[in-house]
Amino acid sequence: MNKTIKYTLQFILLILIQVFVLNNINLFGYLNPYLYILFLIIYHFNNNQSETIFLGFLLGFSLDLISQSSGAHTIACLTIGFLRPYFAIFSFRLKLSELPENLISKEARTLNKIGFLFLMIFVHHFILFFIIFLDPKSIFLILKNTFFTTVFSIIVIWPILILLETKND
Amino acid sequence: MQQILNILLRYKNFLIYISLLFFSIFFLSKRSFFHKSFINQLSLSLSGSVHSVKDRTISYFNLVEKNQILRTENEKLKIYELIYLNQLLESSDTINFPFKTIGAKVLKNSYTNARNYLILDKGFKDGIYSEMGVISNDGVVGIVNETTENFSSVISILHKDIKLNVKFKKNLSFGSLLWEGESPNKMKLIDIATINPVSIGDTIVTGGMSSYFPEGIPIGRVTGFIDTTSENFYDIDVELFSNLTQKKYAYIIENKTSEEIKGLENNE
Repeated sequence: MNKTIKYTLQFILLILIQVFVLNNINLFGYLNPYLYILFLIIYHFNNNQSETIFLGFLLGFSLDLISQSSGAHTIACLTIGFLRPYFAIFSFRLKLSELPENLISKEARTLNKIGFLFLMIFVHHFILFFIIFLDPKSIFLILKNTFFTTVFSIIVIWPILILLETKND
Repeated sequence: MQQILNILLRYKNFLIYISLLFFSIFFLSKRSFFHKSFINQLSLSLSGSVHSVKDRTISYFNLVEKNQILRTENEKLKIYELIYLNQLLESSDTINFPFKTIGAKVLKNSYTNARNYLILDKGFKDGIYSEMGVISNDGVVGIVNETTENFSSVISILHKDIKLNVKFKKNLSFGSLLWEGESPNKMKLIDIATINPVSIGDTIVTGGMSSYFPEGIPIGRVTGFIDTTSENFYDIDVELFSNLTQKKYAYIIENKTSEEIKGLENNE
């Protein structure tokens, strides 16, 4: 399948799932997994960082518009779109030019993948909750929310990643 | 030129990120009232501190002139004090004057925009809250809009969306004073019914129908009017007594009864 069509479909599908299913889970009253950033995790590396920044922005912006939220998703997604190559370099111990197109593949080591996943999700969630609360006094609440939501998101995203890997083979 | 372009290309991604981030923050401030007021407070305390530094350095150079203004101001207040004391002596029941003034220094004053604001060096630490009236030595300045710990921003009466309740000194017919954005001392008085006589030179004072200002502060005088009989209301030009472009000191008015009045208005 053509790559552009594939990514467009993924983009739309992830946003729809996020808005109509996952945003309504409210586990323990406040926990929702944020699956939609899976798009930024599996999007291929092609030495064109501007593209990822822009896609990150678009992803968060669409979600904010559809789910009527304040605008925190836009800033969080934009930032991880910008930081993504640095996270990849850090967690896979590679140089910027050495990054393979498909970072998440069967050949990659599990520990590296989890590191990358954790960095992306944690930073995204931290920015998200920081902007939602925007108050230095509620830093513990922000960290608590970030931590539990990160765990929840990883639990949801990890099996889907494995599934996608086996399908790609 | 080539080098500048090279640098721009090198940091292209970072620049894209920053510009989109600014857009996002703008988007955030448009969508959520909580985030909007947070950003407003941040920018107010930032510009307040910058202007207070500027002001501290400049204020040394015109101390003589400022002292002169303060002295005349004090003389005027002394007279009021005497009148007040006199009244206290004469009447047996206590006079109920609900207003209190708090002096403040003007840190920033704008008068060139369509919607003008001032920044004063008193904040909620000094008991300033939004919707308090602000006057100067010779007229009305505006209404407090937002406060931080040490600063407050004031909507000037030179603001296109503000209407001030005023009346004639001679016959108490009242109307609204508004600014059309032209010269900083020309204002328009509307909603005065044509059954009231108007002549050039009449004095306009604050009306006392709002809880912001006490009744009777002189504001300006009539310089011209159009009698639009068909519409039953005058279109009156007013020249302000006070020169709002040269204000260094202002007095914030605290109305001790405003809570009560607001309570009544909400009950309606």
